[in-house]
Amino acid sequence: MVERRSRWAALIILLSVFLIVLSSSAFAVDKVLDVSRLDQREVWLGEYFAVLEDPGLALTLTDVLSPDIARLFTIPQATTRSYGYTRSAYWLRLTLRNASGKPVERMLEFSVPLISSIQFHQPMADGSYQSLITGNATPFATRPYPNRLFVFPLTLPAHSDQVVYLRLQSVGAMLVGGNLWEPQAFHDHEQIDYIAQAWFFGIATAMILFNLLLFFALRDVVYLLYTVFAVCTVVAISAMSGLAKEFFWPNTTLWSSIAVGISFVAMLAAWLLFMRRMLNTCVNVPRTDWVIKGFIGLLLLFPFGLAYSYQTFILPATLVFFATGIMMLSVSFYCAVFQRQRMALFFLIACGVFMTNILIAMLFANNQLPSIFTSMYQSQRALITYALQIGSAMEMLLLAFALAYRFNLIRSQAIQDVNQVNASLSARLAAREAELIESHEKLRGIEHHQTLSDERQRLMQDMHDGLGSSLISALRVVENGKIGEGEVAQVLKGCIDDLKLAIDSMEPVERDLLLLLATLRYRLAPRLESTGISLHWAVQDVPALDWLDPKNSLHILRILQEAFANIIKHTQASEIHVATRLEKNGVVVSITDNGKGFDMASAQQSGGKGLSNQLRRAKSIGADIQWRSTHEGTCLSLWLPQFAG
Amino acid sequence: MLTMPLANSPTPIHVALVEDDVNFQNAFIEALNGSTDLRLVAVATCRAEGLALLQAAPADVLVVDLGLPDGSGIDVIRAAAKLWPGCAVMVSTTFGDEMHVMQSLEAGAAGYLLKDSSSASMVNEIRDLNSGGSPISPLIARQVLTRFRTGLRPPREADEAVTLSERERETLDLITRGFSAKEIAALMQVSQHTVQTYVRRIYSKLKVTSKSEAIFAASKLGVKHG
Repeated sequence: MVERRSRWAALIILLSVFLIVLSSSAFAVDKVLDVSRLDQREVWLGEYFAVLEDPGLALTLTDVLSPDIARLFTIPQATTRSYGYTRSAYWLRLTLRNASGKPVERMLEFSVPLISSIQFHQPMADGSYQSLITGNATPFATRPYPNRLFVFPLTLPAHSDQVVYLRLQSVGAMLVGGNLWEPQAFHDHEQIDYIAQAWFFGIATAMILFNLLLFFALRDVVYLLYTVFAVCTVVAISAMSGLAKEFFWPNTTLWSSIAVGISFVAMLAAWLLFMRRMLNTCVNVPRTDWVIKGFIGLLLLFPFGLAYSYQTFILPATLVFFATGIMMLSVSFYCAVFQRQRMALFFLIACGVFMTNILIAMLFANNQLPSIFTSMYQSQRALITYALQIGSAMEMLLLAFALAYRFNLIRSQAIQDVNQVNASLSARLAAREAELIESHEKLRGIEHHQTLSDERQRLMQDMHDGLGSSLISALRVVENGKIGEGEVAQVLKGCIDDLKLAIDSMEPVERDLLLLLATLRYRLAPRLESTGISLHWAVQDVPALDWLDPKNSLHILRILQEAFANIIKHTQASEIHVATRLEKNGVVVSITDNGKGFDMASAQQSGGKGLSNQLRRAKSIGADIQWRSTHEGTCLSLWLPQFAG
Repeated sequence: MLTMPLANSPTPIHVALVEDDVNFQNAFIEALNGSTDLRLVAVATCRAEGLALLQAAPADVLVVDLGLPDGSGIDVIRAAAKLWPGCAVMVSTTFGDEMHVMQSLEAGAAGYLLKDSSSASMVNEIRDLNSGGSPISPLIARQVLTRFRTGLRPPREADEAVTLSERERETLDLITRGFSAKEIAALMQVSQHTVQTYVRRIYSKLKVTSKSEAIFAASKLGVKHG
């Protein structure tokens, strides 16, 4: 036992400069508590307990009552509240006196909810003892009074002394403490106590629900980690305060003993996971991140150990627990101070609160708080009594603030990003636009140049083949003096007609073949009229020819012009029929005369350039030209495709 | 073309000419001399003379060349439309190409005369024009149709005056398919003269359109700059 206590003390010394005094005990006579004095609402029983350790767990009430054993009871120092982690049973002896002439009712509140097993022995009028057996590892229904703490109602007859015994045994820390209450004062206190607890659980529930909903809404795992952390905190706090036993698991035995350890370990693991993500430690402090991961792994191993043997693993768990706290404090301090992460400030403060909190609870439980605190009335000690609850609520709120801060950070980052993206987008758009305009201009320049060049080439070709050669041959004939004025005029008129058609071909005909034919007729009408040939115009609507540009238009005009010229010159016809029809995905223009006809072969052999020019032009526009000539006339059919290619 | 029976008319058609090319002047004078009903009353050889000419008594038909040594004949056509409202103006052109003809029609010309026409057809064209008819080529017809279909919409109140009637549209459409005035008259069951007056009416609408378009464009421009 001594060894255990010194180990416990060593731990305390390690953690706090306050922990310098080791609890000691002294032999003395039991202090007698006169319960009839009502100047106090409650009386702290610490100094009234006489204590006996039973390492062998063999002593019974009868043994304890026997003078030999009774002598071994000691009176501990007034502030002693803890006997550390021990497997021993502890006997407490309390001597009460009613000096008044009336029976007095009192409530004995044993204020350590985690004692696994607690026996209460009260003397009856006949001197025999009535015994009650309850405890944290016993169903809640065994308690004589339903409260999160162990409450035993007492009645002291007038002018009497009573000696009550408590036998304690626990898998956790052996803490000792209690109050004796005037019943009405106790009921008042009880109400306030439950309301205070409700505040904590209300806040916790709100945080849990809120963050769980945020998780569902945002699908961001930090909110889930926070929720897990808060849930573990609630479980741990409710288990420690005895409320879980009262409300959550009144009938469990093993679980109610180990729940505190497991839930605290789980809470810390969740806190670490949460912190890792929030402080982005794997990027900001990559090496420390491995340490954090190690701690998380270690913490997650403890539940198995604790479930296996709570008493073996609770002390190492507590050590790891403190080490984790110190590690978290250092990491958040480093991140906050050296890396200037504002978010880490929240963790630093929350960790500080957590550690202070634990420290206060520990000091309180280990009788090491300055006496001024312990001598205060219970209601005024609220801050200390509820240190765990207040601290946990502060942690939860601080970490929720961290989440809110993070949300803000993400949002302002997002806004900044969006602005940046917008700016770069519009810059890129402008650049792209300028590029496009430039390339468009270039393309247009090239296109324009190409068009001009094509047009020049086409006109050159036409001048060369048509007008130029006509003029030159006219010139030769005139020079030789073998030509009359009338003939010269004819040659010149032919030249002018050529020119007119060339000009017409440059007008936009909008792919309208009929308009092209109309133009041809309009130009040739005066010549036809002068020769007395009648023209029958029997065109029908034809689809637009998408390839009918100025160049191709001129080819068609020249082919047909040649056809008319041939008729006028060679056939002695009196009538010409011009018709259009649809045929084989194209359009056929037919020119039929009633002249004497001609022989194709001899016409081509005689060196006339006319026919071969027509064929050449037709080929170049993908058209097909055919003659059918009899002695009753000739029919020229020009087939034009509807689509290019 | 039909020759109108005007030989016995007591009052001859008064024709004025604005032309700088002496050869065409001679050919023109010769053609008119060959007829009994046309009388050349004035000849101007440049833009300034042409504009001065308009201060005298109006002629029935004015023939104007566009390429004058001191400016464009368009100015003379425009002035004639104002000063000689009853006179039919025709532009004399080598090729009868769309650009020159449309420009002249918009300035107020009622027809055009191809410079390589024979004397007979020249005289006929002048007579036709005087009697209210106007010549038209398929390409001009298509251009006019396009002009009325698209382009700047003139103010609403002018709409009526510048919308082609169904008959006018039909006439233009047949012209673009190559039918002659005679054939069109037969197809539409009207006289050939009626067809020619349709064309004259279309030309006058074209003039109104171009004017209101100009005003419309100017007002838009004014609004923009105001």
